[in-house]
Amino acid sequence: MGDEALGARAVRLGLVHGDDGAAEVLSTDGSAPAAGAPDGLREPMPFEPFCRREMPGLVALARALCGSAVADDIAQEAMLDAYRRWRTVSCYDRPEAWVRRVCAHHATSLLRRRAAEGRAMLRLASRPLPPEQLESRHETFWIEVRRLPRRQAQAAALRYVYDLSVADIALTMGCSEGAVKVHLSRARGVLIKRCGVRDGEPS
Amino acid sequence: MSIEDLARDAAAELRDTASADVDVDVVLGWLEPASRRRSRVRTVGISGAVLVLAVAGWLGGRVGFVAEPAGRPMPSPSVALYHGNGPIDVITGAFDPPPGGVDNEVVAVSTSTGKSTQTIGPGYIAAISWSPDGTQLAYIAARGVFVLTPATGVTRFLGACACSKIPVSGVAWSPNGRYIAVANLDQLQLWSPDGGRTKTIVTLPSGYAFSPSWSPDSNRLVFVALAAGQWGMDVVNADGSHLTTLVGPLPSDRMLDSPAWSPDGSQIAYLEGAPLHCGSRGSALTSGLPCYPGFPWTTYSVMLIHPDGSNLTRLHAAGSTSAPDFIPSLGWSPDGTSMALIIPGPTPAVVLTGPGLYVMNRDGSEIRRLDRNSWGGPLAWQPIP
Repeated sequence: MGDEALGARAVRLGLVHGDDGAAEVLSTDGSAPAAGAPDGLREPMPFEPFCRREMPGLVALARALCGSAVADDIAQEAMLDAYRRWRTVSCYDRPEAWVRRVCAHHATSLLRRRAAEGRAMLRLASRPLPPEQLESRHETFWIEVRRLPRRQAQAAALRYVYDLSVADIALTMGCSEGAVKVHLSRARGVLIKRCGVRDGEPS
Repeated sequence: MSIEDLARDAAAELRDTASADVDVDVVLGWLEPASRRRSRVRTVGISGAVLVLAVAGWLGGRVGFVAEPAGRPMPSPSVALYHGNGPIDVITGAFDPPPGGVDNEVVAVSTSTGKSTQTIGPGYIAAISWSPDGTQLAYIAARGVFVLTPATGVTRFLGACACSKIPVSGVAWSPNGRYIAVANLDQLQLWSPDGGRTKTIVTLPSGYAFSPSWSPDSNRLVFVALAAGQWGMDVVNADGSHLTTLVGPLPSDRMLDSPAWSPDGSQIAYLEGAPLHCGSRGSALTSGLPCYPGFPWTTYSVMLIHPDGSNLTRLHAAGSTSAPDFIPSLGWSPDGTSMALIIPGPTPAVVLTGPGLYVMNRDGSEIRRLDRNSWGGPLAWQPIP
């Protein structure tokens, strides 16, 4: 399949955002994308229960990747993307993987974060209460996650926030399981060093 | 403790705080209007007004068309406004336009006849300013600063800047035509209209300097200073000297925006915003306007102050909004007799409601609504070419 046809297919499937690669075509051979591919048979699910189920997790994911100040904006923007494409996204096998991926991309996009930061600044006056502060060592942990390279940070956040398996992280990120293992291994090594904790299995 | 233990505990706390903070009903209430605003194709109805359109190219320099016959000056007086959906949609729209939709655009609106058309866009347009002779329009778009000549449709790219990435920016052409002031994150810069940056005159560490406006003699600038979460309004000489605070810093629950120096130099108008608390029944506690509980409402007032800081007066309460991405804007007519506003809607006392572009006399009288579809953003009243 040529690039043009592939691009058209991706657009039709709602997988191309066209910004900074927030959602990419997941397969290069034109076959069904790995995450959230529509199977053509699935009944669309209603949006509201999906939003209720996923929104807290998206906010947590965004907070892990870009901090509390802009996380709500980022999560809402990802949910808005899902809302606008819901007729397509709802037919995916894993619509939650799609919206999580979009959220992770938004949260690690400098452009998106700049925009959200600007909006947050503009609303500072009317923000009723600041987000609750995390325990300091936990906040330090997430700060170190944010300092990781983009894909490592995404993989680590998906792993820890959602407790996803390697296979599910690969599905969500749109990459191979091997790539996820590499990202997680490198992220783990850096976090151990920077957070000053021992290298070992969970106690 | 292992890294897995730390990660597990940190994630648990993160999930708990997120679950406690998220009000999904509010999110659901926001999604539909936000989606509608993004995909809406606007039509502008202005009774007794004339519109001019000149479509320039989209950001990459593609040349569009001039709706009015090329080479003819725009009818005047006219008001150019950023006719978009607010920065949230601007930025998203620049990179993710809905199929067949129009995300935002600049239109020129005449106050004497009744049509409106797209001038720039659709796309990300963060700020606009007319040249003093009214023949060129400087604007900030996705890659940086551009200058459009509406009569020809030709667009020049002046240069890239980080100012195009966030909504707190601004551009202002000096009345003497020599400089274009550009608000670039924490800096206020002067650029040459021919291209190239001249110099940085203000730097606010850890803050934002934006929405600049020139004094009519081109010797001073007023701008919004936002630092440490507090808003203020500063004045500085064009050479960067004598930086002084004119207003603020305001209490942390108040904001201001869109300072505009009057053409006669005697006053600076600006919008001051204060939180408006929404009652549980979905109406604002003080005004009775409809609102969504939990949304960050702001009520805006038009303020006037002398450039020396004296005679601060509140012209009137302008309106209120529940739209998180609504950026109000204000500008003077070239002759200084009127002001234009993009606001969520005046108070019930003024009868008119709803968002839009309004024009009023400089004393606040005779307010009238020109356009119902403006969802915030900068405006610039065109000098008569």
